Amino acid sequence: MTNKFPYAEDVVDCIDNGVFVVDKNFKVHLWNDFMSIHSRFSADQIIGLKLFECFPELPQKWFERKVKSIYLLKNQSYTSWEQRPYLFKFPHGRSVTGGVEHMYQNCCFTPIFDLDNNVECVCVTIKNVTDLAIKAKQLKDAVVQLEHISSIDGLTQLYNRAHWEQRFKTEVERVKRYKSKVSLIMFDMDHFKKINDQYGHLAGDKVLKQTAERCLNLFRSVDVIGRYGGEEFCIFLPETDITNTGLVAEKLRHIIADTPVNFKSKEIFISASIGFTCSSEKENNYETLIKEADDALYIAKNNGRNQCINFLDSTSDD
Amino acid sequence: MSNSPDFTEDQREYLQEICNIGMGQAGASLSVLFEQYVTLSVPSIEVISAENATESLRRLIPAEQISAVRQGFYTHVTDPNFCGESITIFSGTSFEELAQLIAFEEELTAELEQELLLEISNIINGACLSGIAEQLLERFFHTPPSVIGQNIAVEDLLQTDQLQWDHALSIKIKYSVEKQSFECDLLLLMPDFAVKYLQEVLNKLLDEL
Repeated sequence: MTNKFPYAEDVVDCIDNGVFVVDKNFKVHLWNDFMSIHSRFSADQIIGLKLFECFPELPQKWFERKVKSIYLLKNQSYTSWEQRPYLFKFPHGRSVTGGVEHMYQNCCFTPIFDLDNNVECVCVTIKNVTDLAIKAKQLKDAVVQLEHISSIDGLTQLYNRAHWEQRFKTEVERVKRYKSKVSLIMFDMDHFKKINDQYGHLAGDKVLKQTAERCLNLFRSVDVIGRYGGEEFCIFLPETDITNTGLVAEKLRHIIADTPVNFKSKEIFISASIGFTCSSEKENNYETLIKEADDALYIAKNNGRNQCINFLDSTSDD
Repeated sequence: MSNSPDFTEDQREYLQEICNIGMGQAGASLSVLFEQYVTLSVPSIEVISAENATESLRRLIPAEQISAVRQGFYTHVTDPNFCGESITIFSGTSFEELAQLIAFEEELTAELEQELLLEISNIINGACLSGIAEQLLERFFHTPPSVIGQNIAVEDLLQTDQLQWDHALSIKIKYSVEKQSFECDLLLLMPDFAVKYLQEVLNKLLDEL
């Protein structure tokens, strides 16, 4: 026999992790101070009792399965807060700073062997990882926020050009692969510079915001709308042919031109020049499609504004 | 650059033997736990180089999309010691089947799907390694398992610019469960400095034969 440190059992109570031991019938054999402090049971009260009788809220079947595998395979087993936030719903110790409802826990289940190398009981340790969990969650939220910021145009809340182009590029790839179709509408507010000069930049901003809102009301949720730059907008419509796109473009022209924008109790009359095109059955390239819609838009401008031009018509006329 | 660790024919044969016996034991205890017949392939052992790690992995794991869990294992930290990481690779696995395997009855959320991957990896890996450890007369310690990624490409398993070894020993074991389409691969990878210790242990055991 080695000379055993006489206070070895006290050391278990000094560990700032939960430590307890159960046998295969889930009778508790050890329960350290951490466990006493965080639960309603002191060691004296719980030792000798069955764990599930004291904590009926524990996932019993899950726990039994876990312990069964440890007895059989003589192997450690784990849980992590990311998948299973806690084993025991303990308070978190952030009574003032808050932000969480319970202690997040990483747990480890370790077999304890008898002299014949059979599993005698299972030791469970519980690590408080609440602070880590909070930091990880904050990081996750920040990433989501950053993704939003980097893809959205602040003024109109539509997608910004970079994000919209990325989405359109992916869509054109999809069209190529599955031999489907996509239509593209691009439009530009008419005489926007005049509006800015006459009513001020705040009025111009309101016109852009209103236009974005009207677009969001008109288009389907599968259509992807972006602010292409300045007063130019772009929308791609998956699985939509040129005829239907023409109808939507005309509707769009109306909802913009039919209602003036109210700014400081003045009515600002607005309109847009609209160009549209559709993918072809042969060859598709997202840059070409953008150029086509843009060319059609340019024709609409030159023809006197406030109108829709179909790129496919404009070329057959030539 | 260190040279590729050379195994003598005796060492290689003995290692293969140890792995075979270890897998036999692992298969037996997994069959009891899963209450289904679990088949493990004969372990295939090879040395892979860091330079060609991606190509080697792609050859070892032909699936396009995988989910993978890693877990470290080591003996007592002495110099040299024996250490490595095991990677459990699931391809085309249905979570319903995984859940059945360990009678997991809770409704499956994204978190619980991850827990299933971790749990089954830990079980499979533990069974395998304890089989091998017993043959080597060693005791292995483990780190908790962690998810490398779900639905990732094989190329994403290792960040090849961050490897701290030149060569690694790879032991690949394929698992399948009777009556289920469930299949997964376990890769045990040991860096070159750990392989030296393994060779010492093998020599010692060979001397005792």
